[in-house]
Formats: sequence, structure tokens, C-alpha cells
Amino acid sequence: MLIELAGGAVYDPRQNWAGDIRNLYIEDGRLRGDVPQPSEVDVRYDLSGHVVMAGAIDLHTHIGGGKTTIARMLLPELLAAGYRAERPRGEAVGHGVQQGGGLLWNGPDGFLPSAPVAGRRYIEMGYTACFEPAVLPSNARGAHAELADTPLIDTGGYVILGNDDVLLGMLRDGVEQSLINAYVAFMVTATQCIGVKVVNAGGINAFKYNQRMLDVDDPHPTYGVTPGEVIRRLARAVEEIGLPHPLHVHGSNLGVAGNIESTLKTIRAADGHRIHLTHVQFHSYGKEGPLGFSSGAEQVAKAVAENPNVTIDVGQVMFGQTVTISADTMHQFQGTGRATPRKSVILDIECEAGCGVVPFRYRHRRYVNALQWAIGLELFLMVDDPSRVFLTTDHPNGGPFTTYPHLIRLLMDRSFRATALAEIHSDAAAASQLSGLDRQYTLRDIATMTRAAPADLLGLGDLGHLSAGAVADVTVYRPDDDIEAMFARPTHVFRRGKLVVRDGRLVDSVDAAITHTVRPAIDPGLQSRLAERFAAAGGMSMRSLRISDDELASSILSRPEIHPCR
Amino acid sequence: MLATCPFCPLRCDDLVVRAEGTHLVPHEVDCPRAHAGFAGVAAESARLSSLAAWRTASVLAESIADRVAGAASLRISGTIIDITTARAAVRLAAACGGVVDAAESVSSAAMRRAIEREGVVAATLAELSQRADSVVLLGDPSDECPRLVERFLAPSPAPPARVGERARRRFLSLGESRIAGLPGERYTHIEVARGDLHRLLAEARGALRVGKTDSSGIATWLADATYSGWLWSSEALDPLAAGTLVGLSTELNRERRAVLVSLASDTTLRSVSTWLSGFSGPVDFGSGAPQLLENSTPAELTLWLQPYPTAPPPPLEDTFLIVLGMADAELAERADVYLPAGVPGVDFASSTYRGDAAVCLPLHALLDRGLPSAAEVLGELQLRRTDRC
Ligand code: SF4
Ligand SMILES: [Zn+2]
Repeated sequence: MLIELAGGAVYDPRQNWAGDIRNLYIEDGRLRGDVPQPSEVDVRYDLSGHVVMAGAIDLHTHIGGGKTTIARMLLPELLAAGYRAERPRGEAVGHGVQQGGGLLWNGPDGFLPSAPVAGRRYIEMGYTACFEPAVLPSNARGAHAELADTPLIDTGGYVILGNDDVLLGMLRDGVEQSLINAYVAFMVTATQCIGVKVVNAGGINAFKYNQRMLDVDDPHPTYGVTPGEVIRRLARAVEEIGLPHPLHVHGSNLGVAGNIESTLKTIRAADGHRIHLTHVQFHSYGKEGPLGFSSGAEQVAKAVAENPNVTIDVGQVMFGQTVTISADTMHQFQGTGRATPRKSVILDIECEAGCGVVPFRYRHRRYVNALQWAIGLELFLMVDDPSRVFLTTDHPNGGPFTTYPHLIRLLMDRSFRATALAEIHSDAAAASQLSGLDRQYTLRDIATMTRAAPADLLGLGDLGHLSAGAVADVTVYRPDDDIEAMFARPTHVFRRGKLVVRDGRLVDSVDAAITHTVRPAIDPGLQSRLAERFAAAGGMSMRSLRISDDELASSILSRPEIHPCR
Repeated sequence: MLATCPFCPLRCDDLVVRAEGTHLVPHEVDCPRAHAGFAGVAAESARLSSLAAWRTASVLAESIADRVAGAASLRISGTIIDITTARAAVRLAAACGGVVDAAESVSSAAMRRAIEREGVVAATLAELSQRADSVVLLGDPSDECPRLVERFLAPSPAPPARVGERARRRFLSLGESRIAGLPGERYTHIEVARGDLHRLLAEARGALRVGKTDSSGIATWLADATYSGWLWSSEALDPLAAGTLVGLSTELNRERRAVLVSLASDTTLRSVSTWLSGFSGPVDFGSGAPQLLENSTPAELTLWLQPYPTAPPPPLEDTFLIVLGMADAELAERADVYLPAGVPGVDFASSTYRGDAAVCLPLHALLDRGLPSAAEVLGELQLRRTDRC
């Protein structure tokens, strides 16, 4: 079937289109390059007066992988209550929508949606690919199964390394880089991931030895290696094995006043290797001012400008109830005293890393939370290049992904931002530079930040743009003075060439799940040395870790889409 | 052949099995439960083939489709150990407006509620094995997981993961009998009747809070631990004991490390049900969308998943009982309808969560006996149900 999308204002940074009026043609799930004869067109959508972009890509959202399951187990009363409030009993039940032989049904929504609801909410906002940033190797099967059950969107994951006893043991023993490279390549391949994430390098492991703090240049209490060295060696490995996505770094001292110093040290520790600093808002705190808590956004923006090897995503805080979930048990444990409601789960996992779940409510009249909100916006507005700063709330840590349209309006609409700023704790507003930042994101900036740039940073060659041959993930918006409304309810969303959303509501489903992954080469000569290391470390065996393409397809029920290494 | 053993929450993934005809025999493994599990499967499949009872998923589903469609209430329960079956069970419950409800042990139910109230500090087995200098056992979990001591408690951690300042791990058990296989010189057993466990734990917790000793000496023992790991049997914890234990886990971590390690049989269904419906614990799709059920009650029709003959049978209830999977002769006789299906990890491949929840392992297909899987039967039922609605 040939579909024509006629006359929309197309924003496609890859082709340098910024509102150019174009006709697009979709055939067999891809964009067609040439202009067909009018008689060939089967369906034509008149998109004049509409804005057209590629499907959006979220490169950091916790929608799968164990931690969300634990959070749901911990908070049934909040989920049930929020769910009842948002969706009265009996309304809009999902019996009707078929998905891969199953059914889509409603369930808890908001800050911790069930998998079927998460997929639906994403596609209804025009997102077509989402990446789970914290896949623990021993949990990878479960993570991919949950992601496969998150319908309507493509998914992928980053495997967590850097607190595992295998790697720390190799660094302690001073092994050569080629063995580290082989290890990283094996772990990425075995877990069917597309990238590598390090979380509080060495710190989660140190917490298992009862250490409560570990800064970038502190030696680990048992292994003697520093977080800086872990980051440098991993970033180098990621580069040398050719992964498109740079090492994804959750820095040291998450949420601690004054942690801006650790963040700058982390950038230095990378030693010029490419790194992506994630949810950097939570790592941009100074300790100035009467309350000992201030914004470090300007320093981060300056460091990003000076270090072309660095990209960031923000992890914007949005006010309201949420739950923080992180592998960073060391710092999540410190947060248990502030849990709202007052309960939390801290878990040490399989000599790999951990998991901490702490529910939390961000309040706009509380100084620290209000300043966190302002710091996030400062970061967005102070980093000049929209291809190096990414739109995330670190769902659900800063707030749910369903707040993205509101966040986009804060970035694009200066007066809306000023009104919001007037409502937060006045000392926080005064301590922030936000009122002096006039910048407004353009539609082209948004297309860069949520489409072209994440596709490039992840190496997704045929996603995030609308050139000939690209996957036909297309989102269409009706321009509106209320930018939040515009981004919350696209008029059309095509996934892989099929119209699935009309006027912000799901109208159809799509075929089976897709997992984006890579296959770095593994030096076969090093396999036996790796096997010895695994056997000695006491975690999961190499054999059980490995998820084959066949297992992914036939048992986990997702199709691997393999992207080339660099 | 290397296999992942499906017969207890430990899910040993180092099992070597040999095929003898259409039966499997574990090789060089000293585990009575694994031997009994494979023997039970062999006996039942021999009985079934002599009855020529092999039928396809479609035929099996058709035989009960009307009954399922006509039932006023449906409950899907039993032991579900693999992701494929769990997905199919939740989807069928959603399609039929039924309840899906893992058969949970006494301890498991008590812990679930305690964690919902207070949270917990916990760990998986490899952490316990590599870090814990002190292990506390409540009841005898090695009775249900026979290789627990051999695989996770007896080995010394790999260097440099030293167990605190101690060269060797020490053990404390609280329960009705001593645990076999633990080293005498480093092992203390305190005789405790089941109902008394809560009192003893509460006393230890109180003593630790004020830095005093307790009459049993548990507080003193714990105060001397760098990283303590706690395990329990499926019957050991009542709600009071579970509540005290989760509180104790949080408190101990203020100054040292202490973790609870669960060995539950319902982790796979629990995980899948949680991501598909949003809720752990029994889920009711009666209103179309999922709701958490406070207490699960018998339904007019129970679809009971029995993955292998040695899994716990359903309770005696006033319900029309359909058993799907592989039962022993007694359960086959008791069921109103018995639908034989293959064993996950023997007849078909899937994935399974170990009893400590986060670790997800592969289950391999080892034999092809031509049996349908329970998931196929559930899927066929769902198709028929959707047609008939
Ligand atoms: S301990 Fe459990 S999983 Fe391991 S072999 Fe025995 S029955 Fe199987
Ligand atoms: Zn995150």
C-alpha cells in the first residue's frame, strides 16, 4: 500500500528541513524517495497546516527490567488509587484492542504504568522507540520480556557494568585493555543490549562492603580501583569495540549537595573518550547559599561546551508524586529517610549491581525540589546545541514520561515558563538564573533533541529522520498556541507505516515487538580467560547469561534489529 | 545435556541430564528433589502414553471451551514457573474477566504483605554467597531447596570478596530441627517452635536498638555480623514474624549490612502479572480492567496449572477443577478434567525467575514427546473465548 502524506510542514534536521512544505510517501513500512504517479497512491492524508516529524525517541526511560516490578510490588495502594482517580471503574476497558494475539487492557497509569499502558501512552504522544537504561545482566531476559510486552513501540536496553565483581577484579589485576574489551563485547551481545551504562562506578559494589560514599578519585575499599578508572576503561572499551552509543554514565554522588565537583571530575576521568552523562540535573548541585544547596547548571553547560566528547540528558524534575528507582543502592539507601510514603526497597543483585526503590513527592513549595526543577530547565536552556542535550525526566525518577508535553511547553514558551517560575518557592526562584534566560526552543530544536540526535547517538541509522529508506515512524501535530496540547495529542502517528493513533487516541495496533541491538566482535582467543573470570566471581554463568536471537524471537517474543558498529 | 532444573525455586542451571528413551535422568547430582521430579515426570508420561492420552492443544482447549465460557467465575492458579505460561495465564484471565492468583506459600504471602507495608533490604543468592559472613536460617529452607547449602552456603567467597573480617562464614538456625550439612564448629542452632519465632526476633530487634543483649543471644550474634543474610522455609514466617523481619533488615543496615533472601516458588507469575496488570498478588479482571484482590476466594471453575507431578496440588475446595500440565495419578483422579501438557524446561523452552526474584534464567527444551505446552492450551482457550464473547 502506498500512503501519501501531503503538504505538511516537515521538520527533519537530517535533511535540514525546518518547516518545509513537503509530500512524503510511505510504502512497505518505509519512506519512499521518489515521487510516485498520483494513480499509484492508495491513501492520501491532507496534512496542510500540520507539523510533521519522525517518531520521537526516548533514550532513557525506566519502563522495564525488574526495578519497575519491585516498585509496583511496593506501592499497590498508590497505583490503585491513582488508577481509580484517572480512570473510573469500567471506563474504556481494553477488551477491544488486539495486540500480537493478546489484548491491550487498562491498568495503573501515571508515574508507574503497567507495560501495556506505558506502550500506549508513549505512542499516543508520538514516541515510537524507547530505551531502558538499566538492564542488569542476570535480569536481561526478564527485562526484554517486559519490554516485549510493552506494545506499540520499539525498545532496547543498556547493560549495567562497572560494579560487577568480574570487571572490578580485572581492573584490580591490571589486565590489558583487550580483555576488558572482550568482556564488554560479550556482555552487550549476551544480554542483547545496544549500549553500556555505568551507575555510580564502583560505589554500588562498595556499598556491599558497607561503604556509604565513594567519590570519583576514592579507591574502592576492596578492589582498590577508583570510579574514575572504571569510567575511563569502560569508555575506552565501548569506543574500541565500536558501539555507536558512548558509555552512558550515571555519575557519583547522585543527589548530594556539592556533587557538581564529582560531575566535573567524571568528565576529566573520561580522558577524552566519548561519554553520555545521564540525568545530569541530579548531578548539578553546588553547596552555596544559606541552605547549602545551589545550582551548578552553568558549570555543567560550560563543561559540555568545552568537551565535545560529552553529551547529556537532563532528568527534569516535575512536581507531584513519583517513585525513584535506581541501581544506585548507595545513594538510594541514603534517601530512604525521605521516602513518601515511608517505605523503600534496597536490593543487592547477583555480584552485578543493585536496585533501590524509594517513593517520593516533589513539591514546588519546597526549596530543594523547586531548585531541582529550575536547575533542569537551566541545563536545557544553557546548553546551546540541542543535539547534545536530551529531553528526559529519567522516568519515573524526576517525574513520569507523560509530562513531556508540559516540559516541551516550558522550553518553547517563555511566558508560560515565567508563570510557572512565579509559583515555586521564592528563594529557589531567586537562587536560579531561570528568570534571565530568554531562550525559547524552536520546533526544529525539538525535532533535533527528540528525533535526529538520539537516533544518531544510538546509531539507529534508519530511525529519527524522514529520508528515503527510513523506517516510516511519523508523527503529525496540529499547531496550537498551547504547545502542551499540541504535543500531548498528535493528530496522526504512523508506526512502521501503519496509522495507529488518530487525534491522540490509539486506533489500531502493530505487529510484534522489536529490540534494537548491536553485535560487537569478540576476540575468540580471550574467551577462555573470560570464562575463568566468570567462574571465579560467583555470579551467573556465561552460558546462562547468553540470550540468542532465537531465544529472543521464540521465547521472549521480540525480533532483534541489529545495528552496525562503528 | 546441560539443563536448568525446574523442580524448586533454586533453579540450578548446572544440571547434567541424560536421556533414557523418552525419560530424563539427572547425572552426578545429589539432589533428592531433582531425582524425584524427573522420576515423577517419567512415571506420569509413561502412564499417559499407555492410555494413549496425547492430544493437541486445540483438542484440549475445545474440550473445556464451553465450560470456561459458561463459568460465572474463573480462577487461574497453581504453580507457574515460566514466563510463557505466565503470560498466557494473565492474558486468559484478562479475556475472561477472571482472577489470576499464584499459589503462594505461607511465608511468601506474609513477606509480600510486610514489604507492601514497610519495604525491605534484600539480596539475591550470589550476593549472599559472596558477601555474607553470617547466615541466619529460619526453619529449614534446604529441605525444599536441597542444593542450597552445597551451591550457596558452603563455598567460601572468591577473593577478594572476603566475608567481613572472618575467614569462614558462620550460621545460626532458628527452628524445630538442625540443618544438615552445615559445619558444626561454626553453626549454632536454637530450638524454636514456629509460633515463637516472632517473639524471639522482636526481642532481638529491641535489644539491638538499645545496644543490649537478649536472652537467646541472637542480638549479640547479629551485632557481630558484618554482612548477614537471612533465609527462611516456605512455612516459617507468619505475618508477625515477617513484619518484624523486614523492620529488622532496615534497622541493621544503619550501621552494617544485612539482607533478606527469599526463595519463593511464585516469583515468575508474580513478575509477569505485575508488569502486565500493574499488580502483584491476586489480580481480578472482573470489571474488565485489573484490580488487586485483597483475598482470593474459590471460584466456580478453577484452572490449575501443575507444571510437574511433584509440585504442590490444589487445596480441597468446592470448585470445578481443571488441571492443566502434568499431575500424578492421584491428582489426575481427583481433577474433574485433566489436560496433560508438557513440562517447562523439559518439553519446551522458556524463561524462569529464580526464587530470589531478580535473576531470570533460561529453561531449555530437552525432549520432544509431542506434548502441547500449557501456554498453547491457554492461548487456544483465549482465542475461543474471544470468539464466543
Ligand atoms: S536444588 Fe532444586 S533446582 Fe537444584 S537440582 Fe535440586 S530440585 Fe533442582
Ligand atoms: Zn535513569
